[in-house]
Amino acid sequence: MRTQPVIGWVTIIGTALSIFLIMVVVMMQQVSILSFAPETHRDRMLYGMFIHIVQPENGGDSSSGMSYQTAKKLYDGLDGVEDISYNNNGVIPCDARGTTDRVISVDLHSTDEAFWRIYDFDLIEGRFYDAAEVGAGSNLAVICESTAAALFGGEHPVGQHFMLDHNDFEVIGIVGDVSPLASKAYGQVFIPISLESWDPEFGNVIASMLVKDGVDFGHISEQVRARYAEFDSELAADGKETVYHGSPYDQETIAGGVDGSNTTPDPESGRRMRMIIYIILLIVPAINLSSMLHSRLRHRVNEIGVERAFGCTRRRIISDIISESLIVTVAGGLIGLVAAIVFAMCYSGLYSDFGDAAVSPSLSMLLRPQTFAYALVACFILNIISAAVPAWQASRLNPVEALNAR
Amino acid sequence: MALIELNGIEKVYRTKEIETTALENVNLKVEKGEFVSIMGPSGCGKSTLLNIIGLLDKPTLGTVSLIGTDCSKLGDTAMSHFRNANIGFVFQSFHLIPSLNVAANVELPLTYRSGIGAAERRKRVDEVLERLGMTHRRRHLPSQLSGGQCQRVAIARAIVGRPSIVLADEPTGNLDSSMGDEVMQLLHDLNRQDGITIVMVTHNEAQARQTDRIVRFFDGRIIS
Repeated sequence: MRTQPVIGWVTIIGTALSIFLIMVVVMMQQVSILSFAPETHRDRMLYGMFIHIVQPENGGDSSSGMSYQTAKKLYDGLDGVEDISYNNNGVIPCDARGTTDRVISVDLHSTDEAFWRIYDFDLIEGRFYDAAEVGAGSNLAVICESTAAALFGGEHPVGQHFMLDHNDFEVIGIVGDVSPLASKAYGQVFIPISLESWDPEFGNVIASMLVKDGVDFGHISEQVRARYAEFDSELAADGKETVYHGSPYDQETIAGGVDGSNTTPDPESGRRMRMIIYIILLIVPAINLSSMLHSRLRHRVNEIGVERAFGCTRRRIISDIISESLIVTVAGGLIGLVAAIVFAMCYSGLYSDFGDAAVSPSLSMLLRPQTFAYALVACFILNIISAAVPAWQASRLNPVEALNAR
Repeated sequence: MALIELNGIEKVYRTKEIETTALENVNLKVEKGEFVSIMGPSGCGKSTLLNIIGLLDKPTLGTVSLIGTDCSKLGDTAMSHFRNANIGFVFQSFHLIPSLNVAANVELPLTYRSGIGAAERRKRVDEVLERLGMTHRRRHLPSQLSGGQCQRVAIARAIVGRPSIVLADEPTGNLDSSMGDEVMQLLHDLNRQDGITIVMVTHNEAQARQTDRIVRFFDGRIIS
């Protein structure tokens, strides 16, 4: 750095840019896979999401979300499942008006009572609705803190009534705001799910399952396949049969994108794509960094000759160059990591399907040990790729030629 | 037994088109504590010989024995360790590392030696800098020193590891006469007071005459 500050800074900035890009990708992946409240058990969650039914005789082909009844048939009472919640797939935007008389748009999530057990909501005040209230279709609501403030101003919200798309609801509980990044638990207003459906098979219900600790997901999938077979025998009377698409899905599959109700998600391809992205993001700057290191070393040929003359071994030359390069890489990596975190805080919408998130990813969500570990690993790989060849070449320099180099 | 013993040394540089013989059947013995000058016209092989003695280059033929060790059989790592422990170099163009200050330049050989802690290294550096009158410049960079001061630092670096042999390749070649005399005086002091064996390549007849023996070279051969 002292002798070649321009090349040194270009190297640091190049590394920072590379790590920044990798970290953006890693963090996007992390917030979609790693557990955070209220989705604190993502590693144990499975989601039964869609149903695809065909009628081979007349070419009929329908696929959509499930009705409550279909979801129960396929997923209720599976061995190895600790708890299961039937809730709507995603949120529905609705108009809400409280005592402030201001109409606001809220994201509505309809759930059963088990929803509150499988997710880890921060109940600030009041209570959650129970099974009886869900069964009765009670007009009760649990709402988020910021929504409560918007609907009722400074008034005490629990016990208050508000209009939700022209229906009157009573607030029974207040929970902390939920990030849209928790895509399966997200909502601003939660109400009991309707157990009725417009169709016996189709609807908008998903089965969110919390699997017991240590239970293999394959064990659950086998049971679900058997349930599909049973369901097929029911449907056979109408000339229908199901098409199985690998449901239920784990968090990684969900994060990779379940493209539709009539396709089979392929988490492997997502993994492959991520690996390709990481490799490109590492290789391209590594080539640049390597050539810059080459350039730096060309100016240090004399110095290497002197070091060799005074007893420096080839191995020491290699380790010194890689260590020096590592310092530069780590410095660049730290800058890149900080830049990625700042970027994530400023542009949280990029991390979510919901556009600009009402609740940005928190520092605790982004600053995980894994993030640092990934950054460190990326730095090491970048360093080894970029420094190994120049260091090896430098170690092979003939000391006499190195000393005589101009 | 001679401290430095070269037997039947040949050095041939080969390219696709041409073969150049730099050294031809060179036999040389230097006793412990001797101060030997090597003289000859440019391109006659003096520096090549010095590089072979210093284990920086390998002869095409012949054996190099230093301090009773047949160095022809040493591998690269062993050769590096041997250089570090036994040989100090003084170059015409000093070859100080520009990004390191005087103390760090002098310390360099010790950093490649195992078993010497930081405190011991600092002590040895202080000792040689004081001996060479460079203590007040220990924090300076080479670019802030005069040519004579640079060569003093280079000599300090050469002796800080307490080598038996110092190889000096035209150590006064880049200095004016008074600075050259100062450097020669330092080398003589090292030779006489510390018993260091010195082999010096020089073009300066007067300086060569001050040494114990002159070895004259011509076209890769010792002529006297």
